[in-house]
Amino acid sequence: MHPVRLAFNAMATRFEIVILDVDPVHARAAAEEAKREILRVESQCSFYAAASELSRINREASQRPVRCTAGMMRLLQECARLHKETNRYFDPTIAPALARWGLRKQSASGRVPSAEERRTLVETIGFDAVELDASARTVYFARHDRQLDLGGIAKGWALDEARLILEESGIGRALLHGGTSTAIGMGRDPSGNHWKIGVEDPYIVSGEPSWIMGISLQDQALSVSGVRGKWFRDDSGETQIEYGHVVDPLTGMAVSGKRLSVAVSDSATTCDAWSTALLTSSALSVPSHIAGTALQKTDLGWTATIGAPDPDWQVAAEILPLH
Amino acid sequence: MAPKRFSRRNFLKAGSLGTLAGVLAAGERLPAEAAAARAPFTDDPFPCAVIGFGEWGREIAAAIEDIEELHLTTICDNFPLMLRRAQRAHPQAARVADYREVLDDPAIVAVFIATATHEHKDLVLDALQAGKHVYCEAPLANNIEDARTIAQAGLAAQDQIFQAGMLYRTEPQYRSVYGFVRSGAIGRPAMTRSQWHQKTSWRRSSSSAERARSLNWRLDKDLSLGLIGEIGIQQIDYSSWIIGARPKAVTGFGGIMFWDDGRTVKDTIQAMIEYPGGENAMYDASLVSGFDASYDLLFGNDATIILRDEKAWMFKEVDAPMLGWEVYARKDKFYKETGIALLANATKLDALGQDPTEDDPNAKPPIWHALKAFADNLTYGPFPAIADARLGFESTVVAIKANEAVQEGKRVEISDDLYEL
Repeated sequence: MHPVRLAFNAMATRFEIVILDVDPVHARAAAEEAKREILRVESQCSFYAAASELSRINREASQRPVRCTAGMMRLLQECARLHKETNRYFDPTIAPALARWGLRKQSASGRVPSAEERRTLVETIGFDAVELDASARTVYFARHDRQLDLGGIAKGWALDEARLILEESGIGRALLHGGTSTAIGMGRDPSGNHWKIGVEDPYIVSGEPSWIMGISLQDQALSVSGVRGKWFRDDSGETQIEYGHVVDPLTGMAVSGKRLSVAVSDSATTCDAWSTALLTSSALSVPSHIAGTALQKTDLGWTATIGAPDPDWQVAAEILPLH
Repeated sequence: MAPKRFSRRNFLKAGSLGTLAGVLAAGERLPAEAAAARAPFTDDPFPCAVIGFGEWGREIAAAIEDIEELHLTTICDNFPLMLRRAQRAHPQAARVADYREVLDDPAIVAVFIATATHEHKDLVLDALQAGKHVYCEAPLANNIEDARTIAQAGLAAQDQIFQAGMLYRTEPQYRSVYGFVRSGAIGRPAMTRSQWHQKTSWRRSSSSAERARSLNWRLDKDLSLGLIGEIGIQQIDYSSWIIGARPKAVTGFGGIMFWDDGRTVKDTIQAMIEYPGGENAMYDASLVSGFDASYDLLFGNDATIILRDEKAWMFKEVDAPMLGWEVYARKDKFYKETGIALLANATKLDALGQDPTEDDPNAKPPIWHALKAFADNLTYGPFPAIADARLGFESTVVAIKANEAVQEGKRVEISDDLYEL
């Protein structure tokens, strides 16, 4: 059984699909269909492409209910569910805050908004003002300053949709990931074990990767969020502070410090939302259908601030590096 | 083509039911099929169906949902998996496996046929017979006899719209460039060059081996017109439109360079299309290299135009006359050349307060424009479609002969009698 590997760029990152199947021709065709699905989601959910469905919603939904596709409605319903489940710490209306922090684009240089600015910012955030009418399939913004940004969840959603395509094609063993931060393991890896993913310490940048933990995915998804990735360092104070691309929707403050969160569940969409929420909040309780933890690096190493790493999440020799 | 009778447009012009009553009283009878196909004289969207929910059928269905004059009521596919996907994407639409259920539904006004090329003929003939307006994907068929039968039926259906899926004929940027070339902006058109590159196996997957064989008709030379016929038909049609003539011969080459997986169509092809005026169109397509994707180049003695991603730029020769407006136009650098951006609808965008040089927020894919033209025809017509049966037939003839040239690696002449209907 030979692995078929397909890599491509989407959502400003690198996606990869690895399939194990007795028929590599069939596996390649299935991987290509999954790729097309991911690209379709990308074009639908792009915040920047003027002609995307999301951009049209952002332009028009504060003026009138905007009819959307069935796929977009399912995604927004998921957003609503996860917004509630995470006690509002996952909020896809965070775009204005990210822009104010200068964290919208990879090349942007960040700045720390004043306390007053942050108070104003918080007023512009809130998925509660996004009204969904499933029967009419419309989206309406009850406040004119709302903007949807699905960047925190689109990778997971795209991977979930791609997994469905693979399952429909009869693929039972595969690993899919987007940017190495969101992954799905289907079935068993080439050695017959569950796909094992390594969570790398982002603060050790030289030499061999340093694994914080290794997680076996038993037909599950995984998402990791961290401050490193898209971040800036504020040198204006007495101490240097690193701010990451996740902003607390309740305070308007960007996440700072050496922090990392991990979420594992059946759905990559759920994982994406929960890893974001866990990175943001210091007091979330994780529901039973999700395995999740938030970690902070101190002089003593990585310690859990929320939940605890699953005892099975241990570094093992057969860990699969995704880089 | 004779004027079409009792069109919705004419009815609206007449402006009263009394007029229709008068016409009927005068003894002119509505054919039963035409009555079924006719618009219901309301502002309600036209109920329609998509037959074939593969990749292209899904694009068509998505475009229909984005056109207010159309209402997607039914999706037909004989593959249960496709109907499950239809349920996810279009939960409001009924799903049927037998196309006759679509044709027997009197509420459905129009059908969009997006099945495998070799399956078009029976579907088109039955749909027209059932009184439906028909949009048929290009190529119309995989052999000239079937294509001719389809086109003849389309032309004979006087009260029904028949539109072939020649996408660039209705795409605003391509239409704009056509007008531009016709106005003499590039001087004398000398040649064209087009390419379509995508790294993909072109293969579809299925959990059932038998179904996979059926889904992969594109890879079977007995069913498929290959890359030049199934994909290149659009770009070659545009070249013919620009040059203003039908091809008289095609020389083709190709091979299976990479995807040696049992397929019998080439994965990399080149072709030279000859026109009566001495112009040639060069075309190549590959599933092996995705480099530089897809574009069309139109060369003239004063300028060359490139079209890609529904955008266009013009590169002028140093000795070309100045065009009054070009000093105001946006210019983009391409390596050592400077291209003048050609923008369709620039005046309209400006009037709407949108910067014409930014990405158009209302940009739609070519299939949307093709279906919008069909919907407008339903609303205000029927009048002869821009991409009518004759155009669809002639383009299909070129596609068939070009594929023959590529498969056999030789020069194939296309005599005028082949274009006859």
